[in-house]
Amino acid sequence: MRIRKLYWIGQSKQSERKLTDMNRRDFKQLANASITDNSLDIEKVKKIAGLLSNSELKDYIKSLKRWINEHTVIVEVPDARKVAMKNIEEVFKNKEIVVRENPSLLLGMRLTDNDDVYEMSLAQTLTQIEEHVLEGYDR
Amino acid sequence: MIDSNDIIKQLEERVHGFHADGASQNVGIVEQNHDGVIRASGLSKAQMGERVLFGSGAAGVVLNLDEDSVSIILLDSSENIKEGDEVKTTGELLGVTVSDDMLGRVINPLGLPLDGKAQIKKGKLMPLERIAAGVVDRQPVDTPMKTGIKAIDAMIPIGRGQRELIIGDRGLGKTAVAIDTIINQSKIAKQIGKTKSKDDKNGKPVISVYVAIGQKQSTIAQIIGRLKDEDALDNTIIVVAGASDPAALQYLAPYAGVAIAEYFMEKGEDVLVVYDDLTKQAWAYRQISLVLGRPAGREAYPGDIFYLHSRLLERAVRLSKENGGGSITALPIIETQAGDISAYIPTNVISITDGQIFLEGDLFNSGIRPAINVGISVSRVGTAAQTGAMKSVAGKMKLELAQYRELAAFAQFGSDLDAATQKQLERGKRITEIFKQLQYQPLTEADEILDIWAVTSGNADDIPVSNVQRFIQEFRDYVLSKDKKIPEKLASGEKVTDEVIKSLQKVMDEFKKGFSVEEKK
Repeated sequence: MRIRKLYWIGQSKQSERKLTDMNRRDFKQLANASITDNSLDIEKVKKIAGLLSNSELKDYIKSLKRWINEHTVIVEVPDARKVAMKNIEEVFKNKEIVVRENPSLLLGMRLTDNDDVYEMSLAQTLTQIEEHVLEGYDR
Repeated sequence: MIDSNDIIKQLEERVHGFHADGASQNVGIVEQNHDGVIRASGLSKAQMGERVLFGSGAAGVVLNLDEDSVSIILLDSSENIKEGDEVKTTGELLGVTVSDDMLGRVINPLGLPLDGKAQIKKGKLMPLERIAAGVVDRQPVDTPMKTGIKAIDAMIPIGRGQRELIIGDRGLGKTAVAIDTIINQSKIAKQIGKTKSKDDKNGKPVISVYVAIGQKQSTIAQIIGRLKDEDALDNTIIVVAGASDPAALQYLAPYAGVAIAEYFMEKGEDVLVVYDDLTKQAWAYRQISLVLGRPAGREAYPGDIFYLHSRLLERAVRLSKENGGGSITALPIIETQAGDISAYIPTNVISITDGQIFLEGDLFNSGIRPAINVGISVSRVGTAAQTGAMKSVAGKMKLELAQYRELAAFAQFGSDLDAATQKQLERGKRITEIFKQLQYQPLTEADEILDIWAVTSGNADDIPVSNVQRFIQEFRDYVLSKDKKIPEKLASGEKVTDEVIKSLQKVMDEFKKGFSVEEKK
């Protein structure tokens, strides 16, 4: 059994725990502890990463990615210059908005909020038309 | 030659009804893929049993909902799916599109055709998982499901809406009993079509659904060929999840079969569903559960293995007249090992069904085929599912057979027994002999009644056992040639009157004068 010291950075608290295997909840707490002012704190991440083994690091990175996905909205548009950022920020408060250019959409946009994808694009409409036309025919 | 303007016109007509909607989907990322089970992160809004689609076009169904991931079993090959691939929900629970065009088709549990014909796209989407009809929506089982097999129709009668288990070791004729039943339904349907009879005392034509689970493709091809030869395929739908198909399809196949049956039942039709066999479905479900990490119980089956079969078989029902009056009759098949009916899965299914037909190896090897042990086979619906005609001739046969079985141990002391006991033994031998029947030759009810009456009336007591089969066959033909009204009266299902018995005896006396006994060489 390894005894580890976990520094709850940001809370200025030091606690000792006897650890065998860390579970998902522990990694979630570590990910939360790596955040300052609603964004990732690189210094904290480095400190925590230094305390983990290679296999634990993998789970820690997954937890961080999960946190980032939950707090980021990806906006894909054919032309990044034509995005009504104010409207999107009003809807998705407290989330980071990332804009990406995706010419394959043709027109409209695709919003990815964690694992929800909202698409209102010309490319998607054309796909729906194709499915609608084909659905009546037996192949 | 098709004009381009016609094509454009058709496309315009089709697009006319289209409305563009903004789409929202719940997506996830594949984290792990092993043994046909995918673990994906995301998919926070996935439902249990929901159909999901992978980027490659493969389909899966959600079977486990964990805190940060879901487990999905694949319904297609898993070779193209790798870590990092996208998977999205469809918002649909797993279902199969059914229509009347499905009759005569061979399909997989997802409704995809396996017979080289077009996929059925238009129809009603029937969910694979569904809650069975409640108590109030049902009516008692009182209409016979005629199998055409004398031993069953006389001694273990099955009714429409009943669940009757067929159980036995491998190679004893379980599938043969089911196929003969399907062939007989087709023959009855054609007969009803010919006479255009509106009298449904003996029931409406029955549609058959045969579900092949985990069987060899060669066996399935043989069955399809036989149904075609007997002209029974037009009335039948075959759902196939073969031995080489993913475990998920073998697990889902019976549910697809009953979903298809429910479509016809809701239209007021009577349907027969054969599950061949549920043992393989249990194996497939065990495999899936172990890979999903569910706790293993007795014989490594998961804890809900009973529920797997109970919720399937509860969907066999006879609906009340207010709900259309349709029915689903289930013939589940279970394969035992070395005749052990006290094993886990057999006892589970025995406790669920409304009776069982036991097939025994000893009977099979001694030439009694179908190898049905009438003594320990049961139909809990019983004579409520028999016509008056059959009841009147088969009633005393059960007692005679039971007495014969009791006395059979003393058969070796034949010369030391009193006359009455000898007579009982001889009668029992003849009854056992008439229960022998060739495969793929189901009989009409009139023929069955004639055979049974010929023996129970004592007219065959002086015929050697080796000649009894020929005796009853020729007697049937003789009755048809002498007096057609007798078979018609028997086929009507009404109780056999004394007048009919007198006519039969008269014909029998004439027949016996001309019947010659062949000495056994």
